[in-house]
Amino acid sequence: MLCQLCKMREATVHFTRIINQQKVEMYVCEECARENSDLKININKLFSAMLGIDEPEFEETPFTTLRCGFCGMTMEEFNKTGLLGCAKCYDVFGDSIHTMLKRIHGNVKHHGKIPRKISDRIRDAYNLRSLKEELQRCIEREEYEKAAQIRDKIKALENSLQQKEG
Amino acid sequence: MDKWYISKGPDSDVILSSRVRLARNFKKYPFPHRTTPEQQRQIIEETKNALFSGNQMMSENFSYIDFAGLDAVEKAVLVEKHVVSKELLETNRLCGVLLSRDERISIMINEEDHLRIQCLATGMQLTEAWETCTNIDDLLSESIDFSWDENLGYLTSCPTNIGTAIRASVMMHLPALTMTGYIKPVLEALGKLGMAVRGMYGENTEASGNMFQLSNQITLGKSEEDILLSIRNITSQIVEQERSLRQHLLNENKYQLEDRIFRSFGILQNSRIISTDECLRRLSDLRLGVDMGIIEDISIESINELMLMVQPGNLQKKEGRILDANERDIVRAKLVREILNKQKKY
Repeated sequence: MLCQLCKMREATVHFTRIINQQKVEMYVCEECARENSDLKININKLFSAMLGIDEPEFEETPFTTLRCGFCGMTMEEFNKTGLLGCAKCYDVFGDSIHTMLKRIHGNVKHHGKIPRKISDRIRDAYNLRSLKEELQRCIEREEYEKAAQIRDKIKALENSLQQKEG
Repeated sequence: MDKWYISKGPDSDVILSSRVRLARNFKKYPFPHRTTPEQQRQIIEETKNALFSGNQMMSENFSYIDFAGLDAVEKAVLVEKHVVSKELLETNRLCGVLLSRDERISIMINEEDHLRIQCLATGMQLTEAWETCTNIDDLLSESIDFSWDENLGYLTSCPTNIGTAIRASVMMHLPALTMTGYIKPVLEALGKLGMAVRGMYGENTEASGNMFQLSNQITLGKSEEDILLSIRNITSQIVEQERSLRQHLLNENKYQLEDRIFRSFGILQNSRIISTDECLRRLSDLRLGVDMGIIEDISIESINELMLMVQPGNLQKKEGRILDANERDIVRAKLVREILNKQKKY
């Protein structure tokens, strides 16, 4: 079944809302569900638009069957075992996990070790940006010889990065 | 070569050992409890390759122990040595452990997370243990892509472990704090500071032999170094308190303290039947006596050895056969008598 919002992707998420004592069901894809979950007002606008109601008063019920696309885990299973199924679950169940993490760790931003490959990539990206900015400044100051040197450095760095990726 | 757990380490009068454990998961597979046997097999193979390929030092130093091939006694031995967790024994998954020759470093495969890299050290050596773990992590991550997120850090099966995915712990001997009752407010304060404390032997919070394990609870939001620093600071304070209370006991209740220590010494040297629980209690008293210089001709190393050897798995392994509880109590008493009365030279 196709997503009722974007009409492009496969619907994997099932919403239920009670609007004016009527049960309304929607089938959307993961992306649309996530986009709209950040702005709760939007979803309700969508429902009211669908039903042709202006500014309705309604009750909300939480998501019923949110399921991870990679491992098939559901929120219900997680509540039972306390274990997530895979790395992607952290994306899919984002909001609920976020609240839980805040409660457990008091914090939700990692300040520890970065895996070497990734930190290399971040450092290289940073260096590349810095060089490009410097190149710009040299051109503005008309220091063309220096600019040429920097341009060569940039090329060398980009080549070695290409090799690392390949 | 002496096993690591026999030798003394820094602050060994109070701190028996330090341990650092890192959890890591392969990005391309679901977490262990959602893997197929084929994936479990691949995880084991890929980990072995990541550790061994092109690295002769590692190949010589580590060996792989497949859990399927172990009997109950051998499994118990590994748990008692703190090399693997009880959870690894209870799973139906294909699992095992890569173990270093001195049994100090272990990499558990397919427990709650794909990999649990662990390093043990005597006394207070958290930094050294952490450095060993992080080096192994770096080596493995050359061939394995671990799940890591910019905001959430290393991703683990249980949300309580994400971020640094580090669990650092120290095992402490706190007889004076326990005897005087001051252990209670200490445990409460530790809870409030975000530290988990549990008795090392015995069920749950029971602390047979006055042994306590202190570890961090929070893994996300602080750096690994900060977490280690917190534990080190808190531990130093506890060590100071324990030491001053020991001195206080000696000053105020010298005869009571000595009597308790020597009675335990006498029982250990002479009993014919002794349970694990009583044995650990008596060994705690003996250790206190040796630490305080009240007993002079017994070495701490022999007590360290005994603490491991009197446990059910290790006892049966040494005897070379399965023993029921009664038999174990008799064999245990004999082993203790032999080691204490012979006083092996280290």
